[in-house]
Amino acid sequence: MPDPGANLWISQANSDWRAADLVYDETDHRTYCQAISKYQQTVEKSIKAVAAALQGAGVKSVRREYYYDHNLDDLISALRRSPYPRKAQHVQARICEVLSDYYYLEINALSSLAPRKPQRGALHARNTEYPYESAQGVWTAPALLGEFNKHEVLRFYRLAERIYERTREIVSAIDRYKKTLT
Amino acid sequence: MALQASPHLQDLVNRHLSMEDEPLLLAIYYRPEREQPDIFLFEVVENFGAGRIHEDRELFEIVFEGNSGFPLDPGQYLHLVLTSPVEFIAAVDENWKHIEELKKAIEAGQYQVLYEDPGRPDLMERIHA
Repeated sequence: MPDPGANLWISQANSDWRAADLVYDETDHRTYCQAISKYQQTVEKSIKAVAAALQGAGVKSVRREYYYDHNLDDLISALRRSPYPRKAQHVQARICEVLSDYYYLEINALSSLAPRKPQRGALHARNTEYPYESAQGVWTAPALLGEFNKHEVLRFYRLAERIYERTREIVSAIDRYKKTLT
Repeated sequence: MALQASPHLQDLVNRHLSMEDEPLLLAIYYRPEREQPDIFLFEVVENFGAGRIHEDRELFEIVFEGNSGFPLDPGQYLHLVLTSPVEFIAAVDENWKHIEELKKAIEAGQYQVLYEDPGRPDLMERIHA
């Protein structure tokens, strides 16, 4: 069975991006975690779109299980891992530009806010969707006042905007290149 | 001597015409002074980049290797320079780098229009203006 095409991932990333815009209300702290959660989804699907585009164009092969993992470490590592091309505008260089060290760290920071099952003995980590422990046995919820703030929303808004816009262009270009193959 | 696109390049542009979510409005094969003998294809595409205008005042350019369906000489690359109509108009008005080199190539006869949407003659007119 063929994998979903890159355009479907981008469409879904666009939907998340739009949903974040709709849900965020600067005057209502309960919406902060929801907006950040949608930014995380926007970034995740945008990066998966690039992987799907490269796969579809036969430029790079990406393991299928990466698409089902919210942790983007392995996927980003696979996308960045390639001999750096001689031309600055080469598709690989464009991808490395979007996934530069700085943005890689920012993406990791955003990804770390997706809920995950804690390791044995570890706290339930701060995340945007489930109740979590601020200290051993001290529970709180992401929607409560003070758990997330406007600065974080703005920080991840900027990240999601950049990743979505840049990856959309790359996916569109790869899609056009892909026409050489059909 | 005027440029003549290879059948592979013309065929590629014909295939781009079938992309309904990002309709092709203008496609020009051109040869700028830089990076010869690479193949440069300039396209104005509806909805490209959601019509965003790049803050760095540069059009989006991306480079690919050849493949069996689009053979290139060793060391030769395919450059796609892509923009939306909105960004294109801004780029022409402000004479961005890519527009400047495209105009130079046109003046030197180093270009070939591979597709022009009959409904958007204004795009090519802007380059010639």
